[in-house]
Amino acid sequence: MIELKGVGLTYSELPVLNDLSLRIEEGELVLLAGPTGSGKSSLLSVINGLAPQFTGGHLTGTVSIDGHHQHQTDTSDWSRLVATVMQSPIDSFVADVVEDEIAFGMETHGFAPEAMRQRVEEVLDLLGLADLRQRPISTLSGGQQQRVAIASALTLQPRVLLLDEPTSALDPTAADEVLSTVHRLVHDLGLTVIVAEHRIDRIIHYADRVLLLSSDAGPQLVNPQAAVRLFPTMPTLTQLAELAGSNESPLTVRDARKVVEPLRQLLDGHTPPLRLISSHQPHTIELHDVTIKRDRSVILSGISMECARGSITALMGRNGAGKSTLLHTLVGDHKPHAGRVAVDGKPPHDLHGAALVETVGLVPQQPSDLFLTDRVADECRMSDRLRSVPAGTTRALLALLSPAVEDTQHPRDLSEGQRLGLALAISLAGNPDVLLLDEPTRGLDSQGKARLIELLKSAARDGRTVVLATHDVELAAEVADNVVVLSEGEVVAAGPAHEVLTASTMFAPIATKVLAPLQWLTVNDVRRSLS
Amino acid sequence: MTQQHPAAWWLSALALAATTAAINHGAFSVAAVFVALAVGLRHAYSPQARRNFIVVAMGLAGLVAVRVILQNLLGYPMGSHVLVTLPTIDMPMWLSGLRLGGSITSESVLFALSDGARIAAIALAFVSAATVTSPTRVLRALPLSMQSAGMIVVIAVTFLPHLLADLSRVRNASRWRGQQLRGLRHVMAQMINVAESALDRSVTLAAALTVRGYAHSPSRNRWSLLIGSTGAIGFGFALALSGFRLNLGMGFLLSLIAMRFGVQRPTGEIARTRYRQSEWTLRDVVIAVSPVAAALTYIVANVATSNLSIGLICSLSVLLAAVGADFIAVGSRKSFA
Repeated sequence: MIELKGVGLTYSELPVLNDLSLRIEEGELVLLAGPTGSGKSSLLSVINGLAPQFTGGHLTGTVSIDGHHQHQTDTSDWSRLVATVMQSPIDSFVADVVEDEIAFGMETHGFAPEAMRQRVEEVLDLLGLADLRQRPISTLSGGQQQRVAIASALTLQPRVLLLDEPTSALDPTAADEVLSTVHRLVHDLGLTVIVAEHRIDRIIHYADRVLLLSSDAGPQLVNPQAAVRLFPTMPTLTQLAELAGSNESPLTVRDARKVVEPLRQLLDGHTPPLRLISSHQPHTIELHDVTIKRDRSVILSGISMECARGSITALMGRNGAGKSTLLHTLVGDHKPHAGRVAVDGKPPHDLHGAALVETVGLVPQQPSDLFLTDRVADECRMSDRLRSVPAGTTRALLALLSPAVEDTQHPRDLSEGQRLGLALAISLAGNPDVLLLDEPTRGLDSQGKARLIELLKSAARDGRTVVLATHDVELAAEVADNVVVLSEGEVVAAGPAHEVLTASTMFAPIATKVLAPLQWLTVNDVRRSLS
Repeated sequence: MTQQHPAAWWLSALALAATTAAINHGAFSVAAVFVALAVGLRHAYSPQARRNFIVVAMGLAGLVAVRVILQNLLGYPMGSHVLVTLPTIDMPMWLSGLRLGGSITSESVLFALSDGARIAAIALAFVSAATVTSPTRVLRALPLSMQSAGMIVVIAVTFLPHLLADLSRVRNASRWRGQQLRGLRHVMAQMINVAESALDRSVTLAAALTVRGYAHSPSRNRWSLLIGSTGAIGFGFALALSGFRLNLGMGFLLSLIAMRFGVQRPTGEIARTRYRQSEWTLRDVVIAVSPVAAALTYIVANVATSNLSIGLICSLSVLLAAVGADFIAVGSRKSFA
């Protein structure tokens, strides 16, 4: 179906893809995996024809789909063969209402109105969007928006569907809903799908084959069972199977449960480590009955919580549950309409300048919001100056967090992980008592995530209070002492991580699902107990 | 509330602007301002659009105020009904054409007000049309040969709201960094960050439009577009320059219509189709026609009675009747559906 012959893509002398030849059969769901910078997005844009016209660079080799050669086909016809769902669909929508968005592609290609009506109905049903057809897109949840993006991609009846990190911004339930929809499309329509994704655990059991891009071994197209052992960090299920002494590679929780029986017996008599914060640590964060309103609608309502010095708290919940608003309240962007907020005993909205920087640092969802210069070195110098710390402090922190970053790079040209590193370095340079992070693992590969986990733990050891908003259950299971679950602006569950996470169906980490009824949160906990 | 055809609102805005320019009477201009305000405030397609409209309207009010102040402080007074007399400041020789202070007459104030109201009405008419029709709906209604232009317009129109959102995020972020908002350099740095984000987003949107086949192969239409629009603009200028005030507005209207037809000749290109074509309802006709009706009433009444104020009263009542009918039809509820 898709055939690449000797495809290479070079950006100003820097090869991103090198002599890539492969063949993907019709009706396959291929997972595109690899660390940041391995060329996943570039490969997708080569296939959909955006590279090199749109992205720049020099393209060699040939791409053909269903016997049509890309260089002999004009853009319009090519867009009917390949449909793409971009990384953040909200930025790529062109209509306001669901139905209009879905019809847009067909209007562009001049379909007859009757044919359009029929096909819109079919696609609405296929993706379960019929109830939402008249809704303004801006009022939909993240998962619904993703489904609308897929629906509008499907109306032209493409042969190939490309998805670039479709779940990175979604809560676990919405992510699952989107991926199972894609899986069903492959089976029902014989669609060929390529999905680029960092969170392997989530998607590997849907994949027919895995295309691994990595700098050292070269690209490999292998089946999932073989792929799991090739990843730099093995998926949790494989690690659990290994600990159980099995050489099988289970891809689903159900298969894993059959394999891990020996492990359960091994763990008999071990108790999961409890992460309890000593009770005499003072509370650095206190919220009492906080209510925040925007445009007359209530975003947070009656939130009360406390975080002790040196603790890590994970805020979880659906998209739009109020997690970000809560973090921004802690840094003083919103003044509560009712209730009391105190960070280090002071209301954050009254703090400014150095006093604020020494109290609290926030790494926003888009780290680039923090950057004000065009060179990494300038950014670090500015940070030192604003915090009145010795010159070089921020740069030294950055070298620790992201060693590969160079002084002369533009902050926006950095990879997702490096950008996070720079934002963290800037936030930590002021030595704040409280560190806040908004969705820090978005777009982060497994090595980047491992480094983040280390960093958060050491920040907590240094006596900082860490609060992070995240959809990433595994991250929460790995680092959090406490978990607060928000829904519609209210706290629905709060308590120690091992209680909240193991009790939840939505937020249970993989190790918990596999080892239930034993209550283990992570593979690392298991490994440490056994050794 | 059912959505009206976007073309109805734009035609109405054009007609209102043209009529206001042509009649050029203070009372009519003020009425036109109120009509445009009523339309923009009551039919905005989203709460955000309504907020933007209010900001622009306040900006225009400020502009009118500046116009009135400058006219009365700097110009020589008209008429003889003195309201107040301010102390005069002598200007140097080379500025002897100007005067600062002196007596302020009611004629001067009225003239400045009505002239300001006319400019505000013309501007508000278009702003209100942009407020009630979402840019994406307008984009979809454009003919094939104008798609490249349409893509640029949509990206430009979505640019501003995103820019404002980015600006508030970046300003907040600067606060957490410990930066006090001082100094041109820091403000510039923030502006650059915001511009970069907005640019990134625009590129994303353009890429999304491209992979969905929008704005494809317009090459065959380029000549007809060029000839059509050049002809239309030339036609409009010829009319506008031919002297009559009335022609300025009408020339504008006609040139746009000519442009629409000038670019309407796709040669063997697949035509763009519409999903659920908006129906052209009676309400749309009323919306589009009422400013024209007001203008016609004015002209007819003038000819019949040769009394300016009767014509004016008649045309005002037509315009206000249209707004009143709209109030009754839609009720007082605001809907952003």
